[in-house]
Amino acid sequence: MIKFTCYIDTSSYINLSKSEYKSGSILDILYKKTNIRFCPFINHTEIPNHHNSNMPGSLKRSSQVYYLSKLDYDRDHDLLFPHSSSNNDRGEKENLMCLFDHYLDKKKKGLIFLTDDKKALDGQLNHPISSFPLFKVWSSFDVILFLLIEKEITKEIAQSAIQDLNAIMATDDEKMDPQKTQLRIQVRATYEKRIKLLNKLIYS
Amino acid sequence: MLSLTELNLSENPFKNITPIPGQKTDQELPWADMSQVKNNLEEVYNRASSLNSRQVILNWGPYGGGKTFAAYHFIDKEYQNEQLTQIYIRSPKDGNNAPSEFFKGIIDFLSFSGIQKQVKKIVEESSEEEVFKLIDSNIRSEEFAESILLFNSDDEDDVETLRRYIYSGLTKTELKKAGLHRNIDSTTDKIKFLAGIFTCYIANRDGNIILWIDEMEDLVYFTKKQYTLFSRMIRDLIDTMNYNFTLFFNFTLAEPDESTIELLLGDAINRRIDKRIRLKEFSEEDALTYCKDLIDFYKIEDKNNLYPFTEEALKLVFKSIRSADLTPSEINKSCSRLLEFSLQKNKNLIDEETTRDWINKYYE
Repeated sequence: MIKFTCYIDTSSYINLSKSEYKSGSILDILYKKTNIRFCPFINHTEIPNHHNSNMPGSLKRSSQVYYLSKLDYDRDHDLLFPHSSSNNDRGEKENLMCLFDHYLDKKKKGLIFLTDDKKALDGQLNHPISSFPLFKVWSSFDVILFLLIEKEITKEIAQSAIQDLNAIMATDDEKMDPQKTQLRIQVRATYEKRIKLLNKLIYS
Repeated sequence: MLSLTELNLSENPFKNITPIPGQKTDQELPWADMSQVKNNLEEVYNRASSLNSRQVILNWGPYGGGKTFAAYHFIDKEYQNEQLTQIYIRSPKDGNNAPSEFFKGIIDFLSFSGIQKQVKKIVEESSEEEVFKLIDSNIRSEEFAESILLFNSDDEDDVETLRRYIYSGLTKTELKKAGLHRNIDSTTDKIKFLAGIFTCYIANRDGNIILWIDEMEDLVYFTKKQYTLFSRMIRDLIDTMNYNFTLFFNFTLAEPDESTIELLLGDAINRRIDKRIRLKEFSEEDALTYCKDLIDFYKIEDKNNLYPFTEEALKLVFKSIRSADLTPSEINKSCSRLLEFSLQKNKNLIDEETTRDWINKYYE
């Protein structure tokens, strides 16, 4: 069976690694079910800064790094991200370029761009992503839905995982202001409904 | 610049009121509009004062809708009511230490010296033996009944030991010296100890412990594990305090979908809720009544009108606020700024023209 190829950014990598499941994490199951890929910058710079025991070591990770062939980060940066300096959100931007490159060079299908950086998605990533409608954008919450569909986890585990991810993401917030709290509540409620729908669809 | 008295006002009616719950304010905290909510809460308080029942109430509504103010208002209003012991805490913020934060929050609110005074009082009214029996019969723990009676001690060393026993725990040697066998470790221990303290406040009389837990929506920041532990603690507290107990949950929810609250509070807590009070966004008419009630409260003479505001000016203010945000908090914020602006501009009537000037300046 052909697996999805999942370009994961550092935020999702951290969040999924912190979401505990059995003796490991949700990241472990994602590794099992998809081909995980990331850009060199995420592998060499960002993941080592946030490394924890649920993340694979550098040897395993090195096989998951995608190196650009058709595109070039410095050369093509301003074309894709004209309103941003090349150092800002480098991980997300280089990861997106790798995904584009993978399609352009190898006509790779089943591509997923996985990030929890909503600010980057709504900002500088928005235009290039909308211009290239050949892949899906997921958040870590969507990973839970995917694993539920794949019957890797039960409805109850999916519900707990959404609750955990919400809490994990919140600890990164500088301040728990009322708007952020309402956003978290909305996310929790939305994914609860999706889990219930999928569960009925799969098991009825 | 004009003064408030020149506008027939003793104070700014829309000033930000953030009293410290549990400390009597100098002046009554005025309740404006929301008569249905007020009636519902008064009903709960009346039951609490006259019956020995247990009540669990959920107050829910949008941010700035008046839930926290309701807690402040009723705690202040019933401050002198000797039948009631009122406690106000916010839900714990640190999921890892939620049970501990909750436990210490309640002890802090009642205050160590306050608990000491209460235990001494009921021991004086009966005897240590009677109080021991009373606590033990309620919480089924001789160990914690024993430790609560240490509040009756006049020995400074005992009091210091008790403080450490509550806040940080004692070593085995210290426990032995104090005649105790274990610390307040598990969430069950914490609930038994708290319920034992509550028993001292409701001993031998009608009345209620009223516990307000504000910002319950912050439970969304708890992982499943943290949530399970904390919700079990709340459930145990409700089940242990079978009578003379009123528990208010304040829950902020932007969307009017009650099922989301059920999702966040979970089945165990949800099933124990006896009454739900919804605080809604205001309609234009509600907002006008709200403003009139507040203005009247602070008016020096000639009440029952909107002066120094005109009705049209207030309607314009409401239009500048998103309809989903037409709450007491947003109205207070806008009207307060408009009033300050008008005073600075020496306007003794806040009409549409002044309001437009302020809106243009404020949103420019």
